[in-house]
Amino acid sequence: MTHPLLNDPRLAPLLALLLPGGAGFPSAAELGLTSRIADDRRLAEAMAGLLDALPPRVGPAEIAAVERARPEVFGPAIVAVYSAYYTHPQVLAVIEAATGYRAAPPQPEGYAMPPFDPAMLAVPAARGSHWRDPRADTTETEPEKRG
Amino acid sequence: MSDSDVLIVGAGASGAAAAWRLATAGFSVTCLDQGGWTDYEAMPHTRPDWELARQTTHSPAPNIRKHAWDYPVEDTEAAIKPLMVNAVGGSTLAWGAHFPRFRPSDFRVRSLDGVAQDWPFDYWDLEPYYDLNDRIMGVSGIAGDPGNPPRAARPMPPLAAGAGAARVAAAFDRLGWHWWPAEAAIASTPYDGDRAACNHCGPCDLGCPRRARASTDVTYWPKAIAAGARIVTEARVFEIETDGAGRATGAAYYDAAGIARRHRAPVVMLAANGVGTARLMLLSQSARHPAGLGNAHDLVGRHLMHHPTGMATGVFAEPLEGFKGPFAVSILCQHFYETDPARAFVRGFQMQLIRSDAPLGTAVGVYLPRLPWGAAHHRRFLDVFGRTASLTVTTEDLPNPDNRVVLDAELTDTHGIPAPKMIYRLDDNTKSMIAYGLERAREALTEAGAVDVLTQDLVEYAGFHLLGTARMGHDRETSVIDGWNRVHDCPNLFVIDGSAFVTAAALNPTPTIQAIALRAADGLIRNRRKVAA
Repeated sequence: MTHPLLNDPRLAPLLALLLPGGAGFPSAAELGLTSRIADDRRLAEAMAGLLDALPPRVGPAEIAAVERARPEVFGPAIVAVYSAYYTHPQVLAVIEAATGYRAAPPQPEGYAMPPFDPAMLAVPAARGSHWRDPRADTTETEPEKRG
Repeated sequence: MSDSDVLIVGAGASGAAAAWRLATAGFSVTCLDQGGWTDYEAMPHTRPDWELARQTTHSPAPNIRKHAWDYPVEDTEAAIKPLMVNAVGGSTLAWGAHFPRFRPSDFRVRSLDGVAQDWPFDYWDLEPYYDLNDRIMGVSGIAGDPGNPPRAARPMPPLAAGAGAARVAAAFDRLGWHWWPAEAAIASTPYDGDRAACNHCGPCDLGCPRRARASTDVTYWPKAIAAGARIVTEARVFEIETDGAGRATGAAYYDAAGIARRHRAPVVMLAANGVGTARLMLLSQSARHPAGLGNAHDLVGRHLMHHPTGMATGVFAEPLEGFKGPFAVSILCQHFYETDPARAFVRGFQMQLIRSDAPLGTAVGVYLPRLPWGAAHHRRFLDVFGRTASLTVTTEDLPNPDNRVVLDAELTDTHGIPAPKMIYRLDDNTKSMIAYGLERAREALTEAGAVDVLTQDLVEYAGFHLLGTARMGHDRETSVIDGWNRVHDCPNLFVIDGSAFVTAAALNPTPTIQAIALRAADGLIRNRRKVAA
């Protein structure tokens, strides 16, 4: 069931302030995240909490004030925005183009990786045995640092 | 009249191991678990919103996940929040599968370092069970570590290292710090019939549709069931029942329809983790056990131990593709593990390399602080995504009787059963250890070429290792169970999960939990008639 937040005119401008476009990424407001958030009860409730905490006219200063004063409200809301944004196909496509991360779920493809190279162990494998053997250890310590 | 020879409560790491051992020895075994089986076709790994599921419906934190199979844990007085899974497989369903053994010194901390207590047995008593468990869980690694006792060839070769681990390993070498490939309960090659090799997808904590990452629903349970063991799912136990002599007679539970039922058995084993087992023992009050089972000396629930963990994350200028590979396992440094009188703390810590996170995890801040919102957000994302390597500073938590599990006075689960409450704070020894460890981690990451290193003094959501709340010992006035896991005051009741731990070591506990459960099962097999009588 869609949350009433979907019809809240304050949501899209707020998203544009939280995640404007840049560095090749789209703005959160361009992606239709309003309905994405409104369709998920957990996300919608978090955003509704932030909207309730903000004054009628919202800019970066007002958001920053709530972030400082009401972290218990701001935290879940920004996580909700990031959650909707970073699971959006357009955003994942930008990440893929920029980093090599594949814009797809983890399975079934996974990733190819070169196998472990035993040559990495040249230094640690050359050390002599150095584990602490309690059968041989007669180290005396202070009787009690704690009980 | 009994329904089974042995009743086990909890189908996770220890319950599965014990069930297999006992069933193959001819015991009739029934396990009650409050959860059900995982549907491998319904895992979120193939969904576009898989990362959102990771943060919510598939979170390892029961208080976030709030699944119908879960119970709430009151944690407002706990510096470390509980993580656990209530289902067949238990918390092995949501772990990173780092699989180190404890070291010999871990069982002798009183004798060696004058702290806490020694265990009733030593490393070599457990060694054959570690070996057996490694084969069944399926461990990848490489023998020959001179920093640990010699061990048999590992069942499979090590997992891929990756660019971040290669950099940090080389830095350890230059610093003269010993390291070794982490042992992992993850198949690096096809294993044991239907387990495919890991394909490096990353989020092991979500479960593993390839069954490469071990969980006991795919390792022990099929073998245990083939040997005759039985699991009753969605069975929420609310009391371990006893007779007039105070001996356990079975368990009372609510079935999936909410109907109260009883299962009778001459031997009962608790395998519900360090919170769930303590909760059940405290709930099971009777005339012979007025303060709860095994609690004549007010010890049940006390000495709760975690592995308090700090984390340092290095940001590198070059791409490391850290989103590839099992997130929690690659290399491990135990160079600072043992007590050094020159340091301001006793005992020590491990440093475990953690790879980078996926996009949402990077943005919300799992290893690094949450990314800033606004105009700077996207540039920062590209600067850090896939370019991090983190080192945990996982410390040994010494037992403190004030850190404990109790029954909450108000909070209940969906059946109205009192919920557990965790009360936990860090001591000064641990704080000193984390601070020192974070300095070393920063040193290593800087040596590895990190252009920036950020640290977390304490990872709050790190309460997977729930230990010590019904600890072992020879003395019934200072311990709850004996060296064979039998409750002093109720010798046909066994505690076989992490509750039994005397000390926590500074290493992931599952191999030791399972080795102890296998050993306890062998003890029962040898003393079958005596225990049942």
